[in-house]
Amino acid sequence: MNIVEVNNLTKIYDSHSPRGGVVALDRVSLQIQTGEIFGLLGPNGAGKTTLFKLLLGLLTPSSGEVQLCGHAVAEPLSRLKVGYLPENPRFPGYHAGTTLLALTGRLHGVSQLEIKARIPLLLQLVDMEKWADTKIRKYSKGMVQRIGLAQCLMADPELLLLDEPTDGIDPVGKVEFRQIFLRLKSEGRTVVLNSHLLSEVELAADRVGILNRGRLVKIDSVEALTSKRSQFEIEADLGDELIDIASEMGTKLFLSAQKLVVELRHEEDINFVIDQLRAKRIRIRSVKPLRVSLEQSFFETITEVPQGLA
Amino acid sequence: MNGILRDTIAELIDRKILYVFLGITVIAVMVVAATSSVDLRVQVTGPGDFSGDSPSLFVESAIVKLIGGFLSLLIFLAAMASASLVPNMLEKGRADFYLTKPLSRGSILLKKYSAIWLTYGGIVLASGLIVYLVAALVHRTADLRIAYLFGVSLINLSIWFSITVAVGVLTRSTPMAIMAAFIVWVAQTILAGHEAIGEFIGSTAWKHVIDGLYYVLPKPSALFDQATGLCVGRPIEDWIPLPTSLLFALAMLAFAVTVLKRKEF
Repeated sequence: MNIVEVNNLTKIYDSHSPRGGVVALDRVSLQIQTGEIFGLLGPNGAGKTTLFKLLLGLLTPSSGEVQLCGHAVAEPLSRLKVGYLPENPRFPGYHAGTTLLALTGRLHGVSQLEIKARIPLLLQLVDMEKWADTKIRKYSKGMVQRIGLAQCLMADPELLLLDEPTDGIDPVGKVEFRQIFLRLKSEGRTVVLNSHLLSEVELAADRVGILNRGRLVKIDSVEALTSKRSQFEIEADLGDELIDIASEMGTKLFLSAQKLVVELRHEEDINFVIDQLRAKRIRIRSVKPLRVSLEQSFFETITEVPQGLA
Repeated sequence: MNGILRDTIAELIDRKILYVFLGITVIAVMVVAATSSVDLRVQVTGPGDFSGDSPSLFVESAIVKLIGGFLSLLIFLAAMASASLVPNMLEKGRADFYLTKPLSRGSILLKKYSAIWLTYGGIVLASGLIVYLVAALVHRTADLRIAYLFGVSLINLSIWFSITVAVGVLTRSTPMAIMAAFIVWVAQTILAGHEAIGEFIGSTAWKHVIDGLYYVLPKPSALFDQATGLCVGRPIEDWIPLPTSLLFALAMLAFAVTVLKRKEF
């Protein structure tokens, strides 16, 4: 089941201006399934925050449709089971951590009993018990992010939209946040992460969408984006053996006494390479497909010239 | 409503506005207490507006004027103090927090308006009542008709808040909200004499414009004068100020809701 449905979504800022406005999102279609962690990536100005704001009804689409939790975003009900952490949140500074969480609960229609029960659990989850009664205006950036994540969870949400959630969080906190995301996923919740920290998305997300210049240029699983299926690294006792790869099969990228890296036209041709090594009585210690980082994949994607812009 | 109301009270407490109202109330109580040594009835025998009135009426009238002035000051302060609440709520980053909750924008705004009215209305009523009770005790006179003044104070607050809320939504600027309320206050004071002004204007079209403005704009000062009159037994002769003022407040709220629904954040 799709918890987020975006069809042909276009957003043009200042569309009535004589210059025709600024296209922030251009015919974006996207489906996010229940229970997955989805990473939204893109350079600055790609349209990530605009997409989030359209999902939450903070902006009105120029055209296209958006549905959240089965409801059109124009309906307030679509946000009943949604937690949102904005980029650079400015929560009312006159609230303390606990009163902000209580306010969030009340605005979501959570009962007083549940509010009282959830607050200590959430404060513990984000490691903010010590600062529970301190005014938010005295919080550091990292503490605001932590309490922001807690308020996202106050209404027991099915969907979390987190815009740069680890901004200002220390490295230990980042690991804790990642563990929270994974725990939320294990509870069947959907998490949509908008982050510049590609390594963070790589470690947590199941699928990734890459936005560039308002277009969704790639959407795939992290696994698919980071594996170079035709490249393999073989660790073996190669010694001085000369290993030849037929040109129609692929190329040899690297060869040393201990390691061979090959790039094959077809993945299944790795069997021929292994057969060749075995025929030469070479002891093979490991064969593994080579992976690229999400960062590399991201840069390759956004530097490709999109069709129609060339 | 509960959430927004508590949020508004939390902001009020944090901004220490309560202390200002408390301080003014204490000063007013001290001033009223100081009048206990003045034998107001002595003046009844002397020349003045009240020579034909009974001593108790004169005391009541003085108290009504004192409470009326005090309530006017509180209303002015409440309008100024609350003018920033909506612009603050809609500022970048904070608007995201409120507007992404499962409530329609219209409902959020009306709840905020009601919360402001209840909170500040409560303070104005409480302060006014304390001062009136002290005055009533000191001068041993009490009249339930003073409720007209308290009632009209709540109506006037609803009018001023409708202006500050609407301009706050439109401009997201506290100074603009305060300025708009001030301009309306000046305009309604001038337009109270619209018939006299008409005498000096030759053009019929301009006379119609002046009359039109009089009927469109709210008339909180006229309402207050009428309530003061009711407190001392003068009947209402002109019923125009009440419905036109309430209609203006409703129109401002409808405008504010429409603008907020269309705004992008």
